[in-house]
Amino acid sequence: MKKHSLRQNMAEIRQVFMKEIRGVFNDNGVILIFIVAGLLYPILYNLIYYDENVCELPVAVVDDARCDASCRFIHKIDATPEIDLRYECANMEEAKTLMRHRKINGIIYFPRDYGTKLAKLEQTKVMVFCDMSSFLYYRSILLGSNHAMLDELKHIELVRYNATGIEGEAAQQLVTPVRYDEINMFCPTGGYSSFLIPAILVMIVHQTLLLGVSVRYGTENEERKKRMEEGVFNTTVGRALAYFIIYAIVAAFDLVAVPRMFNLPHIGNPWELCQFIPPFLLATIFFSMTIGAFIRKRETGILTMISLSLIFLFISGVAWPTPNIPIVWRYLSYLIPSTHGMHGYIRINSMGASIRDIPFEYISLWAQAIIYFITACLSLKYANRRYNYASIDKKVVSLPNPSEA
Amino acid sequence: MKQPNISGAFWREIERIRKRPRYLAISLFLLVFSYVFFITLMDEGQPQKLPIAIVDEDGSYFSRRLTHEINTMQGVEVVAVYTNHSEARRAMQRSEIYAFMDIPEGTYNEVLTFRRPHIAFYTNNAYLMAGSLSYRSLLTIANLASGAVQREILRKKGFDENTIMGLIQPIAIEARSIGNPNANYESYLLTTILPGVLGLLLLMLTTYVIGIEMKERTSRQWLHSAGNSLAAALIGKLLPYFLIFTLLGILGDIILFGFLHYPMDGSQLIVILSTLLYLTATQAISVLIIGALPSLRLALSVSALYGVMSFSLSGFTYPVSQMFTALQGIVNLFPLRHYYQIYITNAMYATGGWQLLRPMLALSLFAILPLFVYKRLHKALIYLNYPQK
Repeated sequence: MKKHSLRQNMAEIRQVFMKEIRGVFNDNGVILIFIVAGLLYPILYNLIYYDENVCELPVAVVDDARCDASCRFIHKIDATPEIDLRYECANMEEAKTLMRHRKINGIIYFPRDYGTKLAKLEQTKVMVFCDMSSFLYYRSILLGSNHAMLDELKHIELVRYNATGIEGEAAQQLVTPVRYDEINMFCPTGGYSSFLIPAILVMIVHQTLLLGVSVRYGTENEERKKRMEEGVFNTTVGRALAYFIIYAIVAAFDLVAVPRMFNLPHIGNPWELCQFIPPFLLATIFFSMTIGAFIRKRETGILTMISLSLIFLFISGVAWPTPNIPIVWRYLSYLIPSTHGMHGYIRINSMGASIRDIPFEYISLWAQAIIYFITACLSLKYANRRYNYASIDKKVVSLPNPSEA
Repeated sequence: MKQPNISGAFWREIERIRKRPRYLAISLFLLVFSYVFFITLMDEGQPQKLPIAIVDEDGSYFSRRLTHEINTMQGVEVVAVYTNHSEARRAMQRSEIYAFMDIPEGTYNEVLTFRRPHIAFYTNNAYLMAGSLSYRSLLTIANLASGAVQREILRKKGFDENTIMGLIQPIAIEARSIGNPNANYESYLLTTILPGVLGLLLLMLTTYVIGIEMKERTSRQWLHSAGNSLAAALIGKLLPYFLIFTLLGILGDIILFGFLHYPMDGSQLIVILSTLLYLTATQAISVLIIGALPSLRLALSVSALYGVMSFSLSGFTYPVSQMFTALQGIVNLFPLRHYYQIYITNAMYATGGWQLLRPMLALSLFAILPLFVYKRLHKALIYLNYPQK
């Protein structure tokens, strides 16, 4: 290997950098992934997960009891934000038909003996049937009916204590001897988009970068005719710099601007994000470059990486809680930059943590950046030697003459 | 004029697969990997023993009793007992716990003197699933705590046990989840995610096998093998992949509904039929994409970007009715959406009729999509007039 002066090295890095920038912008497929997907997908996903909460779900009520108590309960259920009692059915059959036609997402059923059991001071039951086609329906309907039930419960208890001669403050003391407050931290509305979109934003940055870089490398490996002139180290640095500059803009838009544009949680300090995003980008870039060198053809990269998106999302422990992920998958997930990226980003952006609060993620990302930088150099060296075959692979395929056809 | 020759194209494709099995092999590997990954990931059905903490500033019989009761719940597990609020909050920010219950100093004393103390529970909604599951457990405990105190007091007042139960828990809600009796998260997600992965891989593979003919300039040879009929060429070429993926799709259905016993109230035949229709629709979309953009590079990128959208837009995690209004029509352009609707109607509600027919019809309609680009694709295959680089 030739020894270069620092100045020559710098010149070479600059050369690689310019070449890569030109390469990216001359390739429609890559532009589509880097720029169009990188910038439009965050907006698109915000439009998909548009409403924070699933509320006012259409529900039918079947009231076989037809008494004061059931009426009062029904009104309370209707008053919850989650449930809208749109239909009142004469019997269960009617309600089931509505359910089958997907006109309603749930049925609330008061049995005939609801009132009499209450009068006899026995425990009485209300049945709630939930549409399980989406868990969000299930969650909302159970939440709504449970809150209405707790309120009704207290009302009934109070009336009963009054009847036994316990009144006023004494009765109150009995009904709720221990009061409780429920506090939803970091995302007071408990909304689905506030929870999912921050993770998706990190995923978009990670996956578009991974796809784009694999496509670039696949194309290069496929079309390589001779060994690279530039050194492996300089090439890795120069290219990484090109991706980093493009993605600094994409990430600033996706991870900093988008949550503010769409009013997602953004209690994080932008300065903390500025410290967090560079190691995440570097880890992702070098991770992608390491993989990229093993991709022999342009198409392989896109084919493989796209179907890994869902796996990366689920393995991270954002959708399915980390402690419940089998140990093998959990350790595997630590190798992927998106795992630390998502956890770190959610904690800074949605939970207001600082860099000092997320040492594991922050250090892991820097460690990944360093290790993957080394592997990126090594795998580029490998690719440089391995894919030197353009001359032998150029098979000339004879085409049948169109006039024959 | 030669006769359209489907089998010519079919055997040519089989030969191509035999010579270069790489892409098919990669796709099949990814498919198997996805099945193994998702099935092993969500083994538990519903997350259990989520880590939570107690902030016990009271240090009394009452607070220890409460901690004990929380530990008996299946959904959560107390992993730490802190003595002040800020420690717990920091643990939450480090994601060591998903929720905590705060029992302030003097709680037990206030209970005994009827001053109705406040306890509080905090849940982390930045991780929605873990947060809302631990919320449910803590809400139950908070209400049970009141009940336990009430019972003690009423006993001392001389009421008998039956009257006490009627007094403190007069109503109970019995929840029935239709079509998924155990509220199993695994079966809910995987019945749509895994067919989604199947479709995504087939979409990419189909786009690739058509596009590569143009990239390698072998497309005339391909047309020639099918008697110069594009229809025959397409059918012959796509058939092997369709057969392989259909077989795997049905195998997947057997694994999910047979071995793993996911709820299935409807007809197995409809499951298989919907898989067939779904895969046909997916291939039709590939042809549409490569026909509209007869350049492998661009077509593959577009297929990928379209393919990943189908998971969110199928509406199985987040209901379509809550999406941005303009998007609510667009969801119909994704076969997975219709597949999911057939699944709901068939497996969960076990009904037929229009509810079942509509998505099936919609899936069948996808099959005519290639007609829109038929001429364009034909020209592109003959003249190779689109840049492949």
